[in-house]
Amino acid sequence: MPSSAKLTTKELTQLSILLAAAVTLRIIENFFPYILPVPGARLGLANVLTIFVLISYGTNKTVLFLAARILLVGLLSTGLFTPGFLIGLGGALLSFSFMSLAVEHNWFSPIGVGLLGAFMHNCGQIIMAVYILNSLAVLSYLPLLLAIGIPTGLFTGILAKILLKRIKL
Amino acid sequence: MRKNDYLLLVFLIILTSLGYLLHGSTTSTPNKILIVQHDQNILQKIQLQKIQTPKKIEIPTEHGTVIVQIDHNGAYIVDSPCRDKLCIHQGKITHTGQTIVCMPEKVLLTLTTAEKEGALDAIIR
Amino acid sequence: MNKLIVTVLFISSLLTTGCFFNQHSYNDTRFLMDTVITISTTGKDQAAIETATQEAFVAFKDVADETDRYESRNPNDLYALNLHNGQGPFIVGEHLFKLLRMYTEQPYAALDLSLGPIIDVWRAHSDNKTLPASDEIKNALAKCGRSKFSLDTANHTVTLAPGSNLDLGSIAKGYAVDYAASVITKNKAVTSALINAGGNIKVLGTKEDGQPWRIGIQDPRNPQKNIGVLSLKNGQAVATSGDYQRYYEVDGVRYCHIIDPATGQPARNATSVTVVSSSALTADFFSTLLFVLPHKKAVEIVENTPQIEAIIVNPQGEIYVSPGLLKIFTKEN
Repeated sequence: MPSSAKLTTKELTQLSILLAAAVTLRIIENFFPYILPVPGARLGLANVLTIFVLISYGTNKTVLFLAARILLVGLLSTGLFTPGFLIGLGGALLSFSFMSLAVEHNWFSPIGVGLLGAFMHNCGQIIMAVYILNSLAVLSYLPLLLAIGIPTGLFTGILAKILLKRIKL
Repeated sequence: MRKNDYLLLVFLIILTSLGYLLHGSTTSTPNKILIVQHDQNILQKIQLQKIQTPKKIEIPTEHGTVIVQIDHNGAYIVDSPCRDKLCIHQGKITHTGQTIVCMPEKVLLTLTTAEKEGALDAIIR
Repeated sequence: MNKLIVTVLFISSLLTTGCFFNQHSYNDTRFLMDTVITISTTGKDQAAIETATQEAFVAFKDVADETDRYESRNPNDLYALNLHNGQGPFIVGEHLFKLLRMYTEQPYAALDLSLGPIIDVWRAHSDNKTLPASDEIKNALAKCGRSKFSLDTANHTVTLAPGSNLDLGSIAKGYAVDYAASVITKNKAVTSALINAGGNIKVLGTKEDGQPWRIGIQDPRNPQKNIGVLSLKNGQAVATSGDYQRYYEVDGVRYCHIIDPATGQPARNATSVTVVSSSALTADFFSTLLFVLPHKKAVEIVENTPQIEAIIVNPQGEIYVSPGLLKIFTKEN
């Protein structure tokens, strides 16, 4: 469970490896943007690691982790401050806020956290798209995106649970 | 904490179903209007019932031209200079409320009805 | 329990403020300047906005009476002035003088207020669906032109050459709209107003929903359709000149009411010209001017006159939209 505020060298090393993995996963996911009919729908494998880090290291260190991941993915893949980047950012922010609340108050098992995270990620993306395009019309995507978010959220939650069991830090 | 997980799951399913239900009033209507938007500017509003032969419209954007195919049923993007071509894979929209968006090119296509498009305050003759 | 009561009161007060702050609206229609004029107003006080609307009509009628070429309304009106041609200086009313003075400060020859004689020729023929002979036109044109009248600012008089006759049809309505608008603007009870004088519209204030005013522009060849919609804001005016309302046809050729001063024939360079400006008079003036001029020259003037923006439909049906309107004009289909 969450430790002190400072990063130990051990933690830094572990987080760096996880960061590399998360960045790679997200970039690979970005290469297959049209598997599902809705833009922005993805498997969310990188979120598995976010949940893992959140539960293992606590909110503060996950903020660092996420910021670093978003920045790196932006630099290497989507580009910084492009519409794609901003939408991903919106999703990540909303999803992280809810997931960290859930973890801190121990509302759910990792499965529930994954579910909540995926759901909120999609909401965040749509909200950002509405803001960028200045049109409520994009809201019509929301039902489909949310429907896809439920199984993918469960999937990432289950994977995170397995990871947490198997990996002893 | 598996019980809470189940509760969350049920809650989200209900929420999503509600979303679908609210969204359901979109069966094909005769007065469909296609709104073509680029970067917050409405470029055109096209009454689809007036389109007898399918035609293409071109939208100049930052990186090139987005080409939209329209007919009296709906519209879809045929070509776009964006990298991922997500907009093309969104396929064709035919029901009011549906949209196609190309984020990198900031293009938004929306289908709506004449009634929603609002009355005019006056017509100058 | 107290918290509950406070919450309920708070929420219900939010809901009911809608009732108290509701806008009242009023509109009235009169027939003036040979056109149906409608003035609509909204505001918080029903009585006050009705008063404002009626005052605006009074103002409009003042201008209408003073610039009416066909009926005598008061001793210093246009009708009286025209009768006084060739008889030296004539004292005219305030609005008439202002209009003529503003006109003389303009450099454009293509809009001419002295076309009374040639307009009368065409009016006579339109009743019989005949065409004027070329010397009939030449003789009439000889009586027209800027040189045919002069103003004396000190004495507030106008002198007309013999046989000359002024027609203010191309600018009087715009001036009247501006004048009526100024009366409404003075009345603080009015939050928004729309003055619709046929081909001249001015909008004042913001609508209740905060959205811009949506003004459709009629398709010159299809009265059931619009070529597009303008989104206008507080204080903007729009005027349209076209060949599709007052005209007659002979052998399939249309002869409209806007005469080109250079030829004495109806202008054919456009089917509809719409001008947007902050002054209805300016919009009215330029809508006629740009209608008469060849397309290229008209575009050049629009793009070099910052106070105006325009939409010009040429005889082929092609629509030119000036750069300043691209963001607020939505084309139809």
